[in-house]
Amino acid sequence: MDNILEVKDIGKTFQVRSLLGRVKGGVSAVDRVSFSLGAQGTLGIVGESGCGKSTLARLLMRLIEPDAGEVNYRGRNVLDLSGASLKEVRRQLQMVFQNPYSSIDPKMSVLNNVAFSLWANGVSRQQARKTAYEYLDAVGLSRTHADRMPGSLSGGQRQRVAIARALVLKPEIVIADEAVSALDKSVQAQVLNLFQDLKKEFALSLIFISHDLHVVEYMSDEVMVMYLGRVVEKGPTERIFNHPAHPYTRALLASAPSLEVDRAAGSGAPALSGDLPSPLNPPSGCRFRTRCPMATERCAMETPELTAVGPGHQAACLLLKESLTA
Amino acid sequence: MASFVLKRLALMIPTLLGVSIIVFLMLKIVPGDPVNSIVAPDASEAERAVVRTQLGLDKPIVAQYGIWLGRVVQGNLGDSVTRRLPVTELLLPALKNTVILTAASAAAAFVIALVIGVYSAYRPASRIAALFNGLSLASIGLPNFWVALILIGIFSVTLGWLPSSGMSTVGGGGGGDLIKHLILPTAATALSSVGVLTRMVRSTVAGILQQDHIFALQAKGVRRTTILAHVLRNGMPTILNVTGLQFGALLASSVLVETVFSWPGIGQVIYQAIGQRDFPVVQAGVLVIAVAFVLLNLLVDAIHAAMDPRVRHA
Amino acid sequence: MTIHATTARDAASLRPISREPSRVLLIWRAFSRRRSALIALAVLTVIVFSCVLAPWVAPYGPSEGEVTDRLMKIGSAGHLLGTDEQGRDILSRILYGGRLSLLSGVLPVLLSSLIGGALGVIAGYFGGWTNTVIMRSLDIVFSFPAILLAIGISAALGPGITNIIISATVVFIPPVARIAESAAKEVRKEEYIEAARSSGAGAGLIIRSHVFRNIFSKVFVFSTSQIGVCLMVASGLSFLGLGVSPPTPEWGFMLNNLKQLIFVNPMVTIVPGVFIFLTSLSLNLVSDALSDALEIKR
Repeated sequence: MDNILEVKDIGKTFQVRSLLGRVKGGVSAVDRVSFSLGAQGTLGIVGESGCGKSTLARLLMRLIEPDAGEVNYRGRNVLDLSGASLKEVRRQLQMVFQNPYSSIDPKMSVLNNVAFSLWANGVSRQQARKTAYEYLDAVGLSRTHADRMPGSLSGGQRQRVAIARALVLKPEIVIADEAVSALDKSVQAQVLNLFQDLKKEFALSLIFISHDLHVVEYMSDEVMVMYLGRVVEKGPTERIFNHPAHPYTRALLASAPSLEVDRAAGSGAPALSGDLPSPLNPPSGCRFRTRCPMATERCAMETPELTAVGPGHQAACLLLKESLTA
Repeated sequence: MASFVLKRLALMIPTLLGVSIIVFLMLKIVPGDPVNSIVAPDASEAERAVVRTQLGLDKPIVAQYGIWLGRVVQGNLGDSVTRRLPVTELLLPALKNTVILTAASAAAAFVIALVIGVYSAYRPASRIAALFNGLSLASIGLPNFWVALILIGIFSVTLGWLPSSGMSTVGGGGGGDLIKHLILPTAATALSSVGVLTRMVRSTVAGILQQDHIFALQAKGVRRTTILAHVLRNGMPTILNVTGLQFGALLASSVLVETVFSWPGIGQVIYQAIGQRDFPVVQAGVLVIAVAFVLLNLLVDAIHAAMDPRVRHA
Repeated sequence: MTIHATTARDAASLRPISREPSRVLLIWRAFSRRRSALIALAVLTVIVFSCVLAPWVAPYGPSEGEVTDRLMKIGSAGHLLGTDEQGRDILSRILYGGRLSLLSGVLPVLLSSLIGGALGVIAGYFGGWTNTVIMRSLDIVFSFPAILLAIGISAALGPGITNIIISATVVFIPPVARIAESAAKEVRKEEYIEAARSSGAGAGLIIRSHVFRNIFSKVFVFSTSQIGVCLMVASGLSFLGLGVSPPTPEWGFMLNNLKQLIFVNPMVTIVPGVFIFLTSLSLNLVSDALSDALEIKR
């Protein structure tokens, strides 16, 4: 399987300024994150809110400019592009946002919300509307919905509109940022299935971002676990869920409400406790150490790197390294 | 506290500079060549050039502004074209009179608004509260210069109770005389602020009356006057702050009212200067009131901060 | 937003919902629930129409009159609202004069809404330095008492209704810009703006098709509330003699003319003032009700 997206050491630090504009410090929102996405594969990104998942998505889209790193789409670094070539590549990466009540313009008809993406790319009004109808149909919305204002749609219907808007540009990659978290459970399942269907129909690659482990497990081929802006573990879905290596992943699995009683991985590990430390002043060394049940003094001094712990499976934990080398 | 005031003073400097730029530009948008108003109509080009150099008009506009600002900072606001005397001599006594009128209006507006506002907050359903509510709403749409004319029509012309113009009777004087002359201009100036303040007092007091500690006092059987004192102490920082900010609005509305009552304040000076096309006076008058307005806001902020420590640390 | 109740109903059963009442109708229903607003709207309509149609409605021409008919009382035969110092019919002058007065109340608000709205949107959308430069500059204009700045500019430009309109426009730009800026800042945070950016739309297109649409009602409501204020400012300038020149009728200037006669007839100034007051009050009541109907809290 060829990789169509390769991300290398991407990072973003938000500067915090005092009232007078002096730089007081930085929030390291995303720190040296690397991953690759296979053609028609699905990468799940999981972590608590505030771990930098959404920032990462926006960095890939260049909605926020990264400080460092590369985003290679089919061998071209998106971060080097500008103007027309950026616009060309940008339409290959589209995003479905978290909040269906904020991601659709309430003052535009459903149809125009979808058609807008095409206008922005120079398609004529009439042609754009025609295409928009087709895509609304593809996500299961009829013509009667198309002419309405978004105010009269339910959350699930709105999210369908958002999906249609992302697809109408015929992208190769769709990034779904917490795309189902705002929806009711029953509606979530429908939208997830819609994603699966559309993925096949349009040969899409997906990046599926969620704090919900079940959603990620259901959707993904590969999973990447993030904590305070850093990747702590990544690997094939089956391995992450059945043989988690990093203490954070284990704690996360243990905290997730599960219907399956005897899940080997989660059982035994203590559930996650305490609050996420402030990203303005993250812990030194391993950022998870303040909540890690196994943390040692060394964890405060050394920053763990991702190391292989199994086939295609990596984790960033000093303690693992020790146990492997020992 | 001192550092708060210093900080605010520092923030005020760019504002004052901006105000001075706008006031300076005001004279620059006067149509026609300013030289024309000084030289004889048949003056030669050489004569005109001399005057131009004298006035500094041959320099770039930024330099002209710098020179003008330098003079203003030293208290030189230029000379009146028609009266042939320094503008400051004209404006300083006028400023005093404007301040008297504005202060009287602020005091009147404050007292009236406090009484009506507190009453309406205590008895929100009463007819009187509804009446005052309607009146305060209406007062916001009343042009003060017209109210001034109507007041003169009723109280000076028809009833003959109060004087219609000036600050003192010819040959007369004394405090009583001044107060008589003050009543009508004060009423006309204060009117629109009374409406705004009454509504604000009412909502502030009503908000405090809804709080748990007031219920607790009532439950304990504390006397009503004591509760009222309590309510007022809680609401006073807010009420005084808004009153202080209204002071600026009153200062501005006094400009129009002064012209009706021939009250010898800055508004009257500006009005006469407009009629005589005496622009240095108009410009200086606008500058003086605008600067007073900015300083007033600072003063109000400082007093508010002194009364309410939360503001200082916000 | 809250006008349509949204139900998180089953998304798959996509039955068309029966047609709901239009937004305009809903706003009108909320608006018309207030009796004071309806009366104000009626008063306003009568005033505006009879002024616009003055040549057909007014009993006399604006400058017609015999000095022998001067200062007739309100209710006199043939002169419903009396006559002025030159024997001209006051009602007719009010109707003709209302055209300029209303114009100088509406036009500056319209112009300042366009200019201030655009500046505010640019400042709010782009943020950063653009915002600082635009908003700080406008703050300086805002640090003048409105009427004073208007007097200053008008006096400098010279008398004339056009100059009144220019100076009032300048004065009303900063408050509109503030409203537009804060509204645009809010809209900027919405995800549909990010979605539009990721579709490759430029700032111009996003502002035109998303931002304007979504801040319009806030700016519109604020602007309507300013018309009454602007009418008072403009008539104040006119009262100071900065507006029309005789014999052109205009409400503020009529007060200026009539004030000399106050010792002859104490109530001679009542009519033009009542018209300024009624118009301004009605405008305030209508805009108040309108803002509640649109559920915008100021």
